[in-house]
Amino acid sequence: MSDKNRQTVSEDELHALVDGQLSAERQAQVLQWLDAHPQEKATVERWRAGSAAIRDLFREDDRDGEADRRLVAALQKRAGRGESASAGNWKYLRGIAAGVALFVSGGVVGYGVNAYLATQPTVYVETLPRASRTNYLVYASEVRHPVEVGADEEAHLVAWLGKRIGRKLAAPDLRAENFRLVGGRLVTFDGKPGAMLMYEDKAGDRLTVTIATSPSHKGTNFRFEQENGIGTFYWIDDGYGYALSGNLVREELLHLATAIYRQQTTPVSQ
Amino acid sequence: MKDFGDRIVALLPGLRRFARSLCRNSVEADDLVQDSMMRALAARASWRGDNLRAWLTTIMVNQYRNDLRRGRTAPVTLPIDDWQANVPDTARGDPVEQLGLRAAIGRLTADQRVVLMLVVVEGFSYEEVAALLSIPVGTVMSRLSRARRSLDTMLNGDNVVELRRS
Repeated sequence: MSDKNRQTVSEDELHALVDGQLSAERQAQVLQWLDAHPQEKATVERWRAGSAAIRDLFREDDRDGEADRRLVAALQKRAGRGESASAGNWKYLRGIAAGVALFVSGGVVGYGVNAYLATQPTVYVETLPRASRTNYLVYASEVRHPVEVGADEEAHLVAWLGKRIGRKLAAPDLRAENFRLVGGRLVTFDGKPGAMLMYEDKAGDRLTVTIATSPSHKGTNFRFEQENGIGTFYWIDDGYGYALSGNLVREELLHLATAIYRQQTTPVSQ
Repeated sequence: MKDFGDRIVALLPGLRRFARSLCRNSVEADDLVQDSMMRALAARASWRGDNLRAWLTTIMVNQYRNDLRRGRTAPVTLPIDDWQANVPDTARGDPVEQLGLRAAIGRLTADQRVVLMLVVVEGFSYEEVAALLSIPVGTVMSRLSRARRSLDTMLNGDNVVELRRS
């Protein structure tokens, strides 16, 4: 075919063909032109295959609406805090966040929810698993700053957290269970300081252990709760409340909870 | 009216995919999603009520560029190993080819990668991409062309057909 014909289809049009952005009429013409131009036809075929391979590489994740809602709610609050000295705006955020307020711990949200939590009548055995699940949801998904103090400063970490919660603290060692300590942070629990420790396995799956003091409770059995795939075992032992949350099956969590319980009953905490 | 946050939630899976296609790994992608959605929520007053997905995508591209500029995201050219973890389990096809493709995408310039992903994966029209990025359609086409040629060169070695823009 002539040079003249060669000029009639531009490279832009070949891209548009591959990307499905030609009119039906023009597409027919270009396809016809390609039949006479095997080199360009091969190129178009390669681009087409390449595009399909790229699309295959980047698929949408399975939708996890619940987790995404929580993420957006948490971000919404942070955005609201940043921008709003304006009370009206804050109220609005409070309004839409009312349903999720308890999912978001005070550490992230700041004084607004702290005050909210502090004014609610609370029952320890109800708030403990809920706070633990919140900590897990908020911090285990946090990529850049999951903890305030890393495991490389473990001695400092447990001394600091212990001081803040008002009793000596020891970080459970879960290495035998293939979870290493990532670090910890101070969280609010029941209007008071609490400690959250985070662990991670080789696959990057995380666990959070929330520990708070519970002066009025001596001991309980293990209790288990599951909500939206997040399992929580919690118990009270010798004046400490413990809660372990993770995206694991009940048996695995029980195994880990038992390991923590056994370690902590030999009180490092005298 | 549907809450602004709910609308974002509905768009998150696609936005997350877009972030993954730009970033080296899912860690950076998650950060990009969080940072840009945070920015969007803080700036919601400036959304004019039209195409929310396009608006959020623009914010994400700007955030991505800022991150690159500040060096928070690692350099674009990387050894193949760094991309290894970023081939999702859900991808079908030959894993070796996917790895090669993933690495080749990583060696594109950021601008080329953005345009390629917006067109090929996110399915925006050339005009929409131009509007999203505030650049002329001609620039979209030249970035797309360079992206495809670069991938050709990287993936097909000597089996490259030179096309002339005429």
